[in-house]
Amino acid sequence: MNPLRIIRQWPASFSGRIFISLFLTMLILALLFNMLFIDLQKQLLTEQTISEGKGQAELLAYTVRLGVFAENKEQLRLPVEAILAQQDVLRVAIFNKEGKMLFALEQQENDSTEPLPAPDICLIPPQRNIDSTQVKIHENGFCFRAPVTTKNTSMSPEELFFEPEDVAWSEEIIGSVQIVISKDRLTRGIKTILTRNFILAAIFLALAAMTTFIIVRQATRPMEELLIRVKKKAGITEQSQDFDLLNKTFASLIEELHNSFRTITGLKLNLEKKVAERTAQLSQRHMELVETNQKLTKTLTELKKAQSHLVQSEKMASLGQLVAGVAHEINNTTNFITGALPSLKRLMSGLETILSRYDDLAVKHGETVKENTGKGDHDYKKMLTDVDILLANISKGARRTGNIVRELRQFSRLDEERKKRMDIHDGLESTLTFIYPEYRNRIEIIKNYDETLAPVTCMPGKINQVFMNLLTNSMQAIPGKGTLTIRTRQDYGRVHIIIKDSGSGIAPENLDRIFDPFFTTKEPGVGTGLGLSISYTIIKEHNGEILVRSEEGNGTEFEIILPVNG
Amino acid sequence: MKIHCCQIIIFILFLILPGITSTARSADIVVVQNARIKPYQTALCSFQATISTIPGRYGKTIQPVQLSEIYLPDMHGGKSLAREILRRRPDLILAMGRKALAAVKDFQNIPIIYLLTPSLPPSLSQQANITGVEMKLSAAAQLREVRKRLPQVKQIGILYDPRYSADFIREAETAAAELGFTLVSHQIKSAKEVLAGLNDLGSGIDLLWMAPDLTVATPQGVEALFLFAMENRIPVLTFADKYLQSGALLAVSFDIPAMGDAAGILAKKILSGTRVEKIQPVISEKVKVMVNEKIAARLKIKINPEVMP
Repeated sequence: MNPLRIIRQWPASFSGRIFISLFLTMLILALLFNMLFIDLQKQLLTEQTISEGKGQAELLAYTVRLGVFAENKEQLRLPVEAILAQQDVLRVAIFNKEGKMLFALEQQENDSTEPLPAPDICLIPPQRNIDSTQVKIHENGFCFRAPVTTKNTSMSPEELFFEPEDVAWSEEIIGSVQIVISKDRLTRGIKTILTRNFILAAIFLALAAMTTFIIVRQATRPMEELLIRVKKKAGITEQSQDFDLLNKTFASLIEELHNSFRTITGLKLNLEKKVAERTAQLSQRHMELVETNQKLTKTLTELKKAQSHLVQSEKMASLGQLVAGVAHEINNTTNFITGALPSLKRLMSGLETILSRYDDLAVKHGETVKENTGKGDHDYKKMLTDVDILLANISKGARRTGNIVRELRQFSRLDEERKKRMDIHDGLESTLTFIYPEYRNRIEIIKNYDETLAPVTCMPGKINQVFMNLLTNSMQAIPGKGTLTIRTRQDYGRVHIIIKDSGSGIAPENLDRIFDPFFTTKEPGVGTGLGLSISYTIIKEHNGEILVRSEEGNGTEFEIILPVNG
Repeated sequence: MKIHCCQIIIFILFLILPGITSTARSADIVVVQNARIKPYQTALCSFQATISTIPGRYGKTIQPVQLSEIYLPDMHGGKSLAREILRRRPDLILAMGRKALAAVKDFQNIPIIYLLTPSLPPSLSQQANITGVEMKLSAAAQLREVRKRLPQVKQIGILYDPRYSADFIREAETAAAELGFTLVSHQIKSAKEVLAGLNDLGSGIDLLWMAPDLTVATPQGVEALFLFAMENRIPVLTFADKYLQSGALLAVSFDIPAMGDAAGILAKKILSGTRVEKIQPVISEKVKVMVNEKIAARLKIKINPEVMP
């Protein structure tokens, strides 16, 4: 490629534009700072000139104070000439207090092309009582005026000999000095500053341009390469504007990015929807599984219960048959005894009558039966009394056996009863009346009846027997005084009768066995161990349930659940 | 019997003692000072040392002295000072400085001694209850010291204002003639004339004598004098040591402790019962001589080593 063409086209390139922008910025900043700096330098130089002029004026005022005091021109000449010998000092003048010029000298050889300022214009009019150095800036120079002061001359005689304590001499103005300093030095200084600054700025700009060019070239090289690749890709062969190409490429990239983002957003939304659907399905499945699991658990529990009930029922059925057979045989045997007992009692009564008559006869004949029988140590009356006692015991035992047999027959369903509608509360009340002696003055009965309780279809006698068994058991479980709570309620077509005592409770190890036949914790002869077993059988016969809850030491609660239409 | 005699003697002593002690009561002296400056303190120390052994009126006991100082700048006006002096009821007032003397001169019933008080007005020197130590520096004494220390000096130049120093110049001329000096004197009427007067004296003099003159010894006059002396390399004789540091070679000044002693002796006399009008003011002849050796070295002047202070 033609190098001239490259040089001509470079300002339009990316790196060319950056370089030009940076260089112009630096140029403007350099110029601004330079001007500011020059202005500051000018101010400083002016202040320095004024400060030096003031210093010279004050120094002169101090030096000539004796000459001014004495108004002695010879005394003034030397200091004035010394000041005038300073560079750029154009004129020096000394005045007395009244403003009269005591001495003045001017620079004879004035190199300045500018005319010297006229004394009348330049010199500050001498005023009385100025107490500080004054400055007047003239077109061609600076005029300074400083007061000449001296100590007050009035003294006391003591002050001749002694230095007074805390001496405070009052200063008296006795005249003034005026110095005119040319602006040449200031002008020369400003010119020097300008020249130096512009040279420095030029050097700085040249160095900065070179450095910027190198940095820009290095920094924009990846960009240039990118542009070349973009041009190649776009098939651009002619030298086009880099920025246009970059703009176009950037615009197309942005468009593509927008499209990509739109696609990603659409995919993201679709994915989220699918995830939500799958999540919902999974949740539903999970719920179903939980429900199924609950059902299975419930079914398993029911199955276990059913199995238990079945086993119990089978056991009870077998036991019932056995008990029925045994009860029948015992009943037959007992019938012999109970059937023979009245006859035996009558015979024994006849025997007692006969023996009584023998006794009467013996009394008539003067001897006793005892003597007749030859068994003096046996009294037949006592023997008869013992026989009566034995007969009473036999009768009692027979009755008890009969009772056992009757209970066994009930247990084995030997006694059937017809079902009819029964008010449960009436049944409870009649049973309580029946067992009143059992709890009188000992147990407080708390009744919490549901007045809306429906009548239950059942066999009232058997249900009352259940009440009797449970209430008696509960009262017997209360050792001293206590409470017994009877509560009824109804739900879902079932009646609940809850009997709770404040007794000693049932030991956990016995809780599973209390419905077993012949299981009892009472003293031998006190209970048969059939009450709860019979109650269980009766409730099951009514398609109900009997539940027990007990905690040792905190009483026992029985709950009978009967279907209203059993 | 002996016990009774002792008791009687003790009783008599008990009655007499208060009388004796009353005769030996302390003398109260009020010192009134212009200001708190070192020369006053120096003079007061000497005064105090001198009066510390004042004999009693009967000459048998040592009378204690109580000094109380009053500084005029601390007093708010003459009434305040008068109240203070009346409250203290002193036996004697020592006035140090012109202002102090002027402030106490109206206490005509109290003896007053003035000290370090230059240029005493004639009216005060005539007042019956006032006496003191004159502050007069003898021209002859100064010239004698010059003769001792600077034997090479022949011509002495001096500026003076006849309003203040006519007597002094007369005494100086007499003394100079006696001691073999040529005194070149020049009259001036204001401090402005000092510079011109010095030029008139010329550089031919061997010593420039600064007179205790209120016109010559102004700050401007002193400055011109020392400038002239420096430019013409002429040694300066002065009357106060404070000018040594300004460039004087020799200072012949008052001996302030000696003046304090002289005042103390006057006080002793007054407190011993001598009437004040019979005690004339005294002049302390003793002088103090100081040499600025740096100036001597710079001017290459040899001081007679036998009389070096």
